[in-house]
Amino acid sequence: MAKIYDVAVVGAGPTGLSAAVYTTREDLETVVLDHGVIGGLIATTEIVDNYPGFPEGIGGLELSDLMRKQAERFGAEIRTGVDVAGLERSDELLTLKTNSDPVLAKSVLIATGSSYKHLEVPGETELGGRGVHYCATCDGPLYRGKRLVTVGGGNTALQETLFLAKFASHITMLVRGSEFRGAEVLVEQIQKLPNVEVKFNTSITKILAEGHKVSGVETVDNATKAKGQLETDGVFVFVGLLPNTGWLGGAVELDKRGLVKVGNDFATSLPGVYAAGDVCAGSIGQIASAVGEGVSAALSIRHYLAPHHVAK
Amino acid sequence: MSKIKSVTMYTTGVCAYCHAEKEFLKQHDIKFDEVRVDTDAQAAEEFINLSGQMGVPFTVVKKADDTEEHILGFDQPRLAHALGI
Repeated sequence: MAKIYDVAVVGAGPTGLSAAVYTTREDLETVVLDHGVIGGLIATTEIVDNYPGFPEGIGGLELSDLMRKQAERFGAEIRTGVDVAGLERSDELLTLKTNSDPVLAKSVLIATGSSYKHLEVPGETELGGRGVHYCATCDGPLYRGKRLVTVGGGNTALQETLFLAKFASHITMLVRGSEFRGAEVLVEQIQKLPNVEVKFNTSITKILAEGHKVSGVETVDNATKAKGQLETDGVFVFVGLLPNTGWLGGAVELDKRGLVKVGNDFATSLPGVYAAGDVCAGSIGQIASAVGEGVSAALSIRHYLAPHHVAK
Repeated sequence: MSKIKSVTMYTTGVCAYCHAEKEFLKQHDIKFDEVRVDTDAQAAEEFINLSGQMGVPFTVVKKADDTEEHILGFDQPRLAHALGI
């Protein structure tokens, strides 16, 4: 007979790990499943400067590792390399279909967060890894002394451009709108950098290649419709996020943007299934709020399981 | 591991996926050589020529029959298959 967990958390980002700290402390047997890295998107952030408790900031990788250790200290079982491909409910039991054995649980927390959106322009897919990138902390150091284009005007674009500016000789930051959408403190830092030039109202229409590597981009001015071209060695894309909900296949109700609809208690439309963090409609996409939502969802799960739960 | 001659992993310093892959290999007692392509310009050039791209982690699994499997990104199922774990 397969093991039945009290709680299966899908996603080992700050939401999932915070929830696991609380559920395990409530003596609920908890498994956390993730296909990629512990910490999710924060693990790919060089420095987290706005999470309380770290006055000097903390590396995203280090914060992820601390959250993992804390969840494991209370007994959470964390499994990586697990692709969750579906969710079904039958006789009050939930089954998560995975790339290996199914995982059975009395309750599920969807904490799969979001992934970086692509530009969807010609050249982007073909040149992936050959000049088109989405992780500055991974691939940015290979562009020491090279010219780069970064795309996006939000917090992620600002923060990642600050990181890339340590390596690149010159960065052209392309922003679709007429102003930045990120925090003023980041904007001020960008404006002080001598090797970063910002072009507002500018979008990429095509990524150009010479041989098998990026050589430039074609652009359009969104205000005047004037076309342009820029030479570059690489393009880093930070144009927003897409919720990781494709795997749910209609098991829970989503909004028109593909975000999970939840109530005040973080319950989804399927009994026993909760969702929290960036994957939910109404999320504000901050680490601190993701942690808070994970904790709130964990307490709702405790309440849901209470009539059936016998302490070990 | 007996059918594996060597495992070489090309990495950069603050890459989360590189970190996760190193932890994965250590958990399974797989010995590997790490080549830092962010701090060694010559290694970076060799890496780009070998892999034909500029993304990390990039792992080369050399087998007993001298064939190589190249794995881009932290692809845990593919790594597990290549390493027989």
